[in-house]
Parts: sequence; structure tokens; C-alpha cells
Amino acid sequence: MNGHLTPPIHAGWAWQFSWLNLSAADLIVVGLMVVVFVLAIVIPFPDHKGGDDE
Amino acid sequence: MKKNMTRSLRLWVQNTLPMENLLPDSMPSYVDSYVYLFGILTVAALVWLIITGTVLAIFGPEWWHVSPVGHFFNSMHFWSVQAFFFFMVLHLWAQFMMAAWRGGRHWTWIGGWLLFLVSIVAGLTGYLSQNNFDSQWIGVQGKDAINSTGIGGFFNILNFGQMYGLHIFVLPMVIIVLLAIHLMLVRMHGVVEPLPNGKEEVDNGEKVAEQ
Ligand code: HEM
Repeated sequence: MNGHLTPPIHAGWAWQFSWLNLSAADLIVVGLMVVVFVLAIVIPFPDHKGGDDE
Repeated sequence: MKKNMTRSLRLWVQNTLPMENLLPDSMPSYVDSYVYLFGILTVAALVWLIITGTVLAIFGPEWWHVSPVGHFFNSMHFWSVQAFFFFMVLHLWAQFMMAAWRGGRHWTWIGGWLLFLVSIVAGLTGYLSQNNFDSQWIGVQGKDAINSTGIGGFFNILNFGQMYGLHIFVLPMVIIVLLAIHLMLVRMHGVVEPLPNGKEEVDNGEKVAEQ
């Protein structure tokens, strides 16, 4: 492409700030992490009834 | 009694990490939350990383870049990395939110950070070990950044043999040792108590006063 190298890595569309290169994939992963974190806090843990401990 | 290294080691182990603490069969009720599973999910991802990585190392790049089964193991290795960092970061958030360094657990916290930092270097050396244009590109693009720090003098990211050796042996070993220490510390101290809930304390106090 016009004789200069292009990165072989195609992370797709990305925001470019001076030191930050944030792709849509990055944002989706961070969003997923927040969702999983909130779910882990909110969803009640099944209690093990019938176990021999008190 | 005469001094005896074996005996003093046994007594030290018995005192610092008795079997009931190393392999407990019950946990405090506050551990009944999914938040406490992020650490072990990170361990699970690491186990998959080691299994798939071993298969990749045995058969080599001509296999993992060409054969369908090779692609499968390559993908398994790649997605295990994603799960590993995904759960490690969630684990870090969870420990941060509950200030899990309390009660003398600072070395568990610091060890966790060391694990995080070593894992990042393991990820970098992994990208450099792919044996394709991606890894060449990363090596050539990254060398200037590494050299500008001075680390390039002994950590040469264009030296494939060095990066591959670090990736498949040295760094996994460091992670395994740090993880063993991390988990032993968790067992020694027990799971950290939840942060004090101001309201609950007042409630309990009132109840006690009424009785
Ligand atoms: C290779 C990465 C790591 C693995 C496999 C790992 C694994 C674990 C496991 C299985 C536990 C006990 C169960 C739990 O609370 O989830 C634990 C506890 C802990 N981890 Fe990690 N961890 C890792 C990285 C980290 C990081 C990055 C931090 C934070 C900087 C951290 C801080 C802690 C602390 C403070 C505890 C003690 C919690 C307590 O006493 O209740 N760990 N880790």
C-alpha cells in the first residue's frame, strides 16, 4: 500500500489519543468485565443445604 | 534436644501451615459469593495455558500454523490467555474492593502484583514466539521502546531464542512458584474478613444492649 508497511495486526477500528490506542474490541472486553463483576456480586451464591457442616 | 534441621522444618510447617489450614473442608459463610471464584478461575485458565502450550512446544510452529489440529491447539492457547487475564483483572478488582491486604495479607497482595507483572512479560514473549508476521512486526516495533528503557541490553526482543526460552520455560516457572507462594499465603492467613459495615455494627450493638 503506497510502498510503506502496514501492521499485519487488524484490531479493527480504534480511537487514537496521544499515548492511548483504544479499539472497539478493547472496550467490549472492559465492558464485559464490568458486567461479569457486577453479576458476581449481585447473583446470590447457591447455599449448600443438606451438607454435614453447620 | 539436639538441633535438627529436618525437625525444625517440620515444626515450622506444622505451626505456620497445618494441614487443616492447607486443605480446609469448610469456609466462613461470607465466602459464599461468586466474587471469590475469580482467583481459582485464573488458576484454571493457567492450567489450560500450560497443557495447550506444552502440546504447541512439542509439535512446533510448522504444525500449529498449518494443520487443523495445530490451529485448534493454537486457538485454545490464545483463548486461555484471554480468560487468564480477564479473570486475573476481575480477581484484582475484587481484592482491591475488599482491601484484601488487611490483617497482614500484604504479601499476598504484593505477590499478586508480581504475578500480574510477570504475566504481562509472559504475554509479550508469547506474541514474539508466534513465528509469523505478527510476531516479527511486534519485535521490530517494540525493540525501540524496550531499548529506550535500557532493559534491551539483556532482554533483546529481536532474539527469538531468548524470547522463546523465556516464554516456554523461565516465565511459566516463575509464575508457578509465585502462585504456589500466593496460594500458601492465602491458606496461612485464611480468607480476609469482609470490610466492616458501619450499619451492621450499630445494629448488633443495639441488640446486645437490649438483651
Ligand atoms: C496468576 C494470577 C493469579 C492467580 C492464579 C491468583 C489466585 C488466587 C486464588 C485462587 C486466591 C484465593 C481465592 C480468591 O480469593 O479468589 C487468591 C487470593 C488473593 N489474591 Fe490472587 N491470584 C492471582 C493474581 C493476583 C493479583 C493480580 C492480585 C492483586 C494485585 C491478587 C491478590 C490476591 C489477594 C490479596 C488474595 C487474598 C484474598 C484473601 O485473603 O481473602 N492476586 N489469589
